[in-house]
Amino acid sequence: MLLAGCSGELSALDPAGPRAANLATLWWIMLGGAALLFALVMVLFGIAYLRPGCLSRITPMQWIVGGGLVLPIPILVLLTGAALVLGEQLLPKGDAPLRIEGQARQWAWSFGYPGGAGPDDGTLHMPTGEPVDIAVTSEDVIHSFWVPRLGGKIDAIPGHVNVIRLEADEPGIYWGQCAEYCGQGHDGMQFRVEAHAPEDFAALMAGAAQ
Amino acid sequence: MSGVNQRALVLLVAGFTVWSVGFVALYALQALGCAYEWPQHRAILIGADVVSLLPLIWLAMMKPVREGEPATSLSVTALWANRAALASGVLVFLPVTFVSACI
Repeated sequence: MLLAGCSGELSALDPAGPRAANLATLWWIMLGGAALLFALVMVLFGIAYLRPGCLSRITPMQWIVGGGLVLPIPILVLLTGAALVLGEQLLPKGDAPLRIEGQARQWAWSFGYPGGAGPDDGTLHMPTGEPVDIAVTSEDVIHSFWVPRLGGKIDAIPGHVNVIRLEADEPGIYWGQCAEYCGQGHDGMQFRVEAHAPEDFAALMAGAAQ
Repeated sequence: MSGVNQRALVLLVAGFTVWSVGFVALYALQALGCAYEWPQHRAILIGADVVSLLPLIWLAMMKPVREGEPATSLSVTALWANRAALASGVLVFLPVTFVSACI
């Protein structure tokens, strides 16, 4: 039952592209580290409860140095290092082959394509197999753009443009959600993302431009 | 409170106070550099990192008790708190010298 939350349209643990995969990997590393520490503490707790004599030789100073320094510092350094390496790979460095404008308002999203091409249907259309930059802004309050299966999230701020890079491995329908509370309609502020094979995407843009 | 402990109490809070000031300063310089596209942004961040670490190094080396004075629990705690602040400064501030600062 617990694992049922690991899949689904809005699950960051069911990545459909390399950038979302990075985030999922980091989540699993964090979970693994937390589980390991929790198990270790529970084992020590069990030994202290069932066989108190086994731990009596360890001095208070050894507990403080071991539990307070030797144990957490390498784990924190490793977790921070993993977050830095995986996080760097998410950043939109250089220009992506395609840049799409994403505009938020209470409580909907609209998307604009280069040269005014593309359908104006409230769906974010993108090609598969290549990074796509989404230039995100807002008409009113702060929103947050998030497609959990394709990448991270970024704030949509009035008067400012933030760029996030997404990538989809396979054609299909994905879903996005505003991830920042923005008023009464916040929970319904979802949007559809449709990833097309590159030739289908080109045809869609050409067709919409005519 | 004795003079030894008064001095130790000040030193106890000094390290992490300096650490927090350095953290806020680095955060501000990172954000301002991105907003105004400073050409020497990275050099400024590296310089601010060094400037933040210098007082932490000084505090970590400072003995909370003077020559001839007996060490107290508070003075020992102050010494190790400042060494912890220095270690935290090195670990937490270091990424501003090499990771991407702006999107």
